[in-house]
Amino acid sequence: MRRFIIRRLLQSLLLVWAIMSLTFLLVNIAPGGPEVVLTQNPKLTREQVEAIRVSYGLDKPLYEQYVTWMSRIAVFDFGRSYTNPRPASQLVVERISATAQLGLASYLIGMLGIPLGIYAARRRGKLGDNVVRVITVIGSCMPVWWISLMVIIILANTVKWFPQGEGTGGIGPWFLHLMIPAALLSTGVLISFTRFVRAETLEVLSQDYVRTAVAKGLPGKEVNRWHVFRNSLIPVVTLLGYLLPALVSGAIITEQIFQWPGMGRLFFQAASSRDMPVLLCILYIGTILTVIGTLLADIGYGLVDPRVRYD
Amino acid sequence: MSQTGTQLPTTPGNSSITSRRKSQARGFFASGFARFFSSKLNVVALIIFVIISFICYSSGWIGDNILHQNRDEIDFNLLSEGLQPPVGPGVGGHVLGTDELGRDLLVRVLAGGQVSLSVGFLAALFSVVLGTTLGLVAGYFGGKIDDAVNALVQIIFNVPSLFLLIILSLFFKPDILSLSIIIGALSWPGGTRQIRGQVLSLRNREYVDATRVMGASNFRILFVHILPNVISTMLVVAGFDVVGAMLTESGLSFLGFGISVPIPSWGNMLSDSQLYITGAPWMVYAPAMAFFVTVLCVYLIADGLRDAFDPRLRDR
Repeated sequence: MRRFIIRRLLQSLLLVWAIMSLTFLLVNIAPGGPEVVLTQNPKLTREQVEAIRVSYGLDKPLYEQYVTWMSRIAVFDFGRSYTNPRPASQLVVERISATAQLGLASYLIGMLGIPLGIYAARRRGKLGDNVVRVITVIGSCMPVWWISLMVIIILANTVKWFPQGEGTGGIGPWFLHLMIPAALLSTGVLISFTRFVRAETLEVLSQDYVRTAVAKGLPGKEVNRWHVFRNSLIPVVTLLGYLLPALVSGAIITEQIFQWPGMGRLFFQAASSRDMPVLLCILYIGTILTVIGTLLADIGYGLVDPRVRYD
Repeated sequence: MSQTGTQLPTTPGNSSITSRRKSQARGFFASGFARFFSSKLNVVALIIFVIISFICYSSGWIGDNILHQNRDEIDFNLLSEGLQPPVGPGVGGHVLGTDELGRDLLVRVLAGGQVSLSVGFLAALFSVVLGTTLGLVAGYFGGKIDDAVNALVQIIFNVPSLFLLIILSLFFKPDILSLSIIIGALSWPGGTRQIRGQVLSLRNREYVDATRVMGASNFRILFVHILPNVISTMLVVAGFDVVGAMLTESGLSFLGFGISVPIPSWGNMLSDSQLYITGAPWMVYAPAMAFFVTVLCVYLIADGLRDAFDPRLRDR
């Protein structure tokens, strides 16, 4: 197990390196290059453009830039923002807390899918199950931004109010301003959990050991708790990891719609002003989170399911 | 499915055998599609989807001949009649009203559908072709090639794709083709994994050994003998790829990094309408409903195909 974890850790590092190298290449071979925003200004003279390129180190050959860039992002240094004199990483870091609040809240709400999935599986084919299934199918076809737009339109046309930005003035407004975007962001997670848990519970319910347990005369509650529930949660562990990045990318859209001052909104603003250091810094964080999510899923799976053998 | 190499002489006895076998058992695909069409929901979804696509792709003709409005044409009659666009449904001959510039909303919704559907299907096409080819090659040859493909799959799986899509869209002004290629290039690994798994078991079947003994090349074995066995998987993967690509495209366009104006797509129409949610909510309703119904239909079709071709997954 320890060897497996070490090997997976090394693989993850390699993955982050590969993704960031690929991004560096894509950004630099693209027409205009990363500095396109700086050099677009028609008032600049040729010499001034050159001076800007030198000050950002963009005049050096590509491989040299690559080596400096890689050694700098290893210590989380993305250079100055193009639109703000402060370092890009600093701008990003101060937005993390807001995004984490939103992500955590929506993750918790999304976990309601676990009981929902178990409920649906146990009432298979009955009304409750069918309602849950219709909801998951419809929900799969409604992206976060679509539902958010619908909710906003309903709120705006009925109570003439919808949450924008962070709630100020006490715990009540804060909670309301957090919970509405979080609930909307959680829909994808909620649906994934519901579907997975339902499928897995059905699978476990058809296993021989469940039949044996029932045949031995164990009460239904005992069987459900010790034989069904525990086994049906195995995929949930992997899902917990895999869904981590979905929240980060979902946050771009949700934060933009609700003006939530997090990393996603910063990414949107940086993209609008082509602020490459900030964009790459957030992409870096997103990549690391995704890789960690996959890693946690793999390791967690081994911890929960004793049948999984490494090596 | 695949034809036998040698033509058997058609003697009366032989033909009666074939006809008897036909009546007893249908082929894999025939029975799969029969299962698909046996569900009313699938049929309804397919019919609605075909109608929507047909109307969307003939939006140019409909605009010219029925509505007498063009996609980008601004109706100046409204201003001369003292109306300030956006006007509501039914005003000035606009069935669904107009947008903030006075362009007919119905024509734009239909044209937008054409764009959204095109991106969805083109991206799915790229994704499936790439994913299948790599899956076939990785599963069949194994070894170093398999490792390389797996590494690529891992990389793409771990890229936060929405972030990368937005960054890339800053460099390439996205149009239907480039957006489809980029979305397709980021969504193929799911299909590759499934197809690779199938090929791993198929390549050791006796019929593949027999073909090899008869001197068939690897290329022939892969594309003539193994490919037909994974087509049903491709179909299912493609269905869900269309849904995924449509969701991605509309999300990107909604943020302003996808298809850009004046070309309408359901995503960027909804983005524009955000400013008018209280004043002119019809600008939201039309594209939002069209988008939802279309994606739902494609999803139901994909789901139905999966149930039909992979019965193990039914009720899941």
